[in-house]
Amino acid sequence: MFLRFRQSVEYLAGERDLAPPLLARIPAWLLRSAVWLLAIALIYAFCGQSSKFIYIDF
Amino acid sequence: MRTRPLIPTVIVCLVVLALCNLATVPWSRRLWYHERLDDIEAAQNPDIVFVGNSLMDARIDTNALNTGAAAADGTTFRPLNAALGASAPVDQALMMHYAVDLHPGLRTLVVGFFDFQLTEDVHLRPMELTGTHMIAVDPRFPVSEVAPIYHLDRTEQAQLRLLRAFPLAANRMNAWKYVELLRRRLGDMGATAHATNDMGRVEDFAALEAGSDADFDRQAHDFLQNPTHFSASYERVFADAARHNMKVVLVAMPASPAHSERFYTRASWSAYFARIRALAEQRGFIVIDATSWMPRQDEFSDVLHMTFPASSEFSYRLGKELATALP
Repeated sequence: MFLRFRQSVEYLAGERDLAPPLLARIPAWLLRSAVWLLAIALIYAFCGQSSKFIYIDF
Repeated sequence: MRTRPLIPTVIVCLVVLALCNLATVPWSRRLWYHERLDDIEAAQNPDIVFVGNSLMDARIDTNALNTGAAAADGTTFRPLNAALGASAPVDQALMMHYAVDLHPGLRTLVVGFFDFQLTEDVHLRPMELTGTHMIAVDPRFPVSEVAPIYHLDRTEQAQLRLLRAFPLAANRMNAWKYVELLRRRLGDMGATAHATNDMGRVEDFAALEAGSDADFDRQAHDFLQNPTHFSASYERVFADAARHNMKVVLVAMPASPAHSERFYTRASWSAYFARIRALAEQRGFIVIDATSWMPRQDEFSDVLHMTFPASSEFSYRLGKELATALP
């Protein structure tokens, strides 16, 4: 299971060219979009962290 | 090496971002500043408007205000509380502008102030228009109306237009708010929970006081060097009031005993307040010094803000004072 997980992560991250069986049926462009959207969502969620919240309920 | 499907990926990302951008608009309608603008819009023929920051926001109890006013001389007010928590004077100037534009029947302006709020100039760059400062990003105000209030040059006006086109960017801090709340909840696990009130962590509000006695004295001294005018934002607020023939009342808001003992016993504050009073009276404004109205620490939920029961007591007393002072 861990091997498949590792292969999946390596494929999504661009380290491996061949999709593991788990992801083989999903179009590559869709997978790449999901990876980039996850990255964008994480950046968005954390990009305000330089703010020191005093009033949290705005 | 295999080529990556770049173009479809970029298209999917752009489409999802555009959808998120659209979804942000209804989300931002639930924000504090937005609800307050809606309240201003929905007010029914108000005759008195309250402007200020969190010390005034949600701290005017209409029933207590009118009970106090009726006890003094039978007056009844139709109040509109346009004060906004976590706001800067520029935001308050925009709130006032909006209130007088929508309600020409307003006859009295009450400004609640704390420390040097009336005289310190604050410039917010478009990048800083987050949280409640997002009021400037709200599309109901044309950029041409916001620019002179926020002192935005041409480049900053272009940045503001860009922020309005991408509400996802303007709301970036609101997303972090939820991460921060989660972080705080996790941080409190297994430890003594931090005391909180309706606006945040109690201990955090101490950061809004002057950093040191010397810093407090310096702020007083800065004004006393040239005590001929209020800050540009408040001059705008007062100009709006004058244009609508409104009577202006300045209220030095109740301060906690801790804040009073530390700062309001200083010679610099006495000199500053005497000069503010003189400047206000020169303009025909009424000044109410409420700094010592709440002498007990348990009447404050943190170092600055009154508890809600204390707010009702404050409103009652303010109603009495206003009814007596106003013609």
